[in-house]
Amino acid sequence: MTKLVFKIYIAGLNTRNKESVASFRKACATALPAGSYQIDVVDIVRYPGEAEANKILATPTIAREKPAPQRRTIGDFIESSRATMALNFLIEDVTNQT
Amino acid sequence: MKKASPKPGSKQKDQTGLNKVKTGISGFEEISFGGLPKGRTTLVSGSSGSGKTIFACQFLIEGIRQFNESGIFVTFEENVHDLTNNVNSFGWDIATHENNNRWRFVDASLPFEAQTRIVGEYDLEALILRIDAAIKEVKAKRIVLDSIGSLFHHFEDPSLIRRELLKIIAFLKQKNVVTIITSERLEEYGLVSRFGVEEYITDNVVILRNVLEQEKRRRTIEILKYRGSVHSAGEQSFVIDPVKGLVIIPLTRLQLTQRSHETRVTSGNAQLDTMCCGGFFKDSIVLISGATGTGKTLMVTEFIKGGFSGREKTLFLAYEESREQLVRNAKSWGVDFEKMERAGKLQIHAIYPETASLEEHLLNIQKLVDEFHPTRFALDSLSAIERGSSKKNFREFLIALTSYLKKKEITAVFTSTSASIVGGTSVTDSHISTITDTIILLRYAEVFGDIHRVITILKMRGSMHTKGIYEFDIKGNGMTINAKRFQMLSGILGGLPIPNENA
Repeated sequence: MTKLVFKIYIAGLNTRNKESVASFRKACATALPAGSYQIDVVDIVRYPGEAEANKILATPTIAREKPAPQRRTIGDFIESSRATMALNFLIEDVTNQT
Repeated sequence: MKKASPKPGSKQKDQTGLNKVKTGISGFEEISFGGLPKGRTTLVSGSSGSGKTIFACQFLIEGIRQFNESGIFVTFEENVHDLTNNVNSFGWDIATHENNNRWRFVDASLPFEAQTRIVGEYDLEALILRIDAAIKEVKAKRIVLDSIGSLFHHFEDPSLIRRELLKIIAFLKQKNVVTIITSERLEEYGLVSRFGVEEYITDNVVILRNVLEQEKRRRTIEILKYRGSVHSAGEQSFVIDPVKGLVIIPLTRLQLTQRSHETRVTSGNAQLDTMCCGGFFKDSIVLISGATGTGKTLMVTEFIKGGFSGREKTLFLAYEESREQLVRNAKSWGVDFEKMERAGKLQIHAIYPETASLEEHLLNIQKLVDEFHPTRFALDSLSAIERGSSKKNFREFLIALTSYLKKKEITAVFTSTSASIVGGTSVTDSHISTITDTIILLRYAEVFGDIHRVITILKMRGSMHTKGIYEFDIKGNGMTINAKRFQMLSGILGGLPIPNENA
């Protein structure tokens, strides 16, 4: 299986956003084998060009960039159940194929 | 994002409060008394195809072209490429403006929409940050959001969208830019906006309509709400011109211009000149009314001939007969239209009135006048134009046309066909009699089995004129008016002629 690449778009590195990222990392670590995925975090306050280039409207957004086609979730995932739900949706089509 | 604190005293320019920015859209400054206010948001709402996107685009384009102000176009629906191509036909070269850093797109369409799921709370901070970055990049003064209906569609939670839109509007206010938000509406005369919240979060509301009226499309613009400012009320006509884009025709603000000319010009007929005490006034509007075949087109022909003899140029718009027919008829009265055309003194345009809306006819006439610079104008006939337009629309057209011609100091002759053969005035006449300076009536009079033609000057503003009814003949050299009054009948104008016993 190709490596999964996630991009998390957040607006500002505040506590809540940091905790959200941590929550998603934890969900991944639980569900996926180590080394099979990669998580990039993009703070669009610092890099609005990234939001422009990838047409991000809402925050927080998680995009599964690879493998194509892209999938995205919009909305808060600070709670672990939400993070798991988001992850399940993001990898749903990939896991079904195997 | 930095929070800007309001700088004391920098915003409000005067007591009336609003610091207005000219849109550059032809006619909009007139109906809005100066344009749109800085730091505020205007909703432009309209049904599909009503011209919202063109309005919004033109607002940015004119900002760049006329006022050297950059703009941001946030598109929620239409693809950037399509949009650029669509407005290219107006000569709006967005790509070049982008290269010159006068224009930025923020593409707020949602990619991967089918593969996107909403899992929790969110906001549109990303969009605000993107707009902010674009504003900084080109130092934008004008912003367009087109059209926010898709936001409601994508995110499905109206209260959240409302909250986020308020944030965006507050942010744009802080940036002190002029903002236009477009929104779709479903009916021409129904709710202001589709989702019912748009009009409450914006300062001003403009409605564009595209309504069917007597089987013709008529576009109108209405300023429904303008916080803190006077504006003209009601619907104003506009057209979408292939070159100029939106052109609003602000009729209710046209001002009556006073006749300044005492100069007289010939009517083309010496006897008629005598009846008018020396011819028509130079910048007057003359109406010739009569039943079919009474000689209206002949009088127009003589009017053109009179112009030619004085080396004047005439623009002749014919809505009833073809060019060939007019040329042939004129020839039979000894007038050579083709020679005049070759000499550059005459332009004949034969047009089917049904081919365009009245607004388009008006713009077309203005264009022809601006190109040809005539000092005489003839239109045959108003009745043909009136067919298939509403009373109000027709009257507005006439007011706009006549005030334009007066401003240009053009002598104008209009004809109007009365419906009944004998006597009576036409509907057209009653609409327009107050707009015209001079009214000439041509009538048939039946006397003991013979048809006579008679002429009279009903009114002539600012001048003496003969009050009598005169008989005239149409011969190979045109119209010959008898010097003696026609006294065989009474009551010709009323349509109930009775023989005069002493005649």
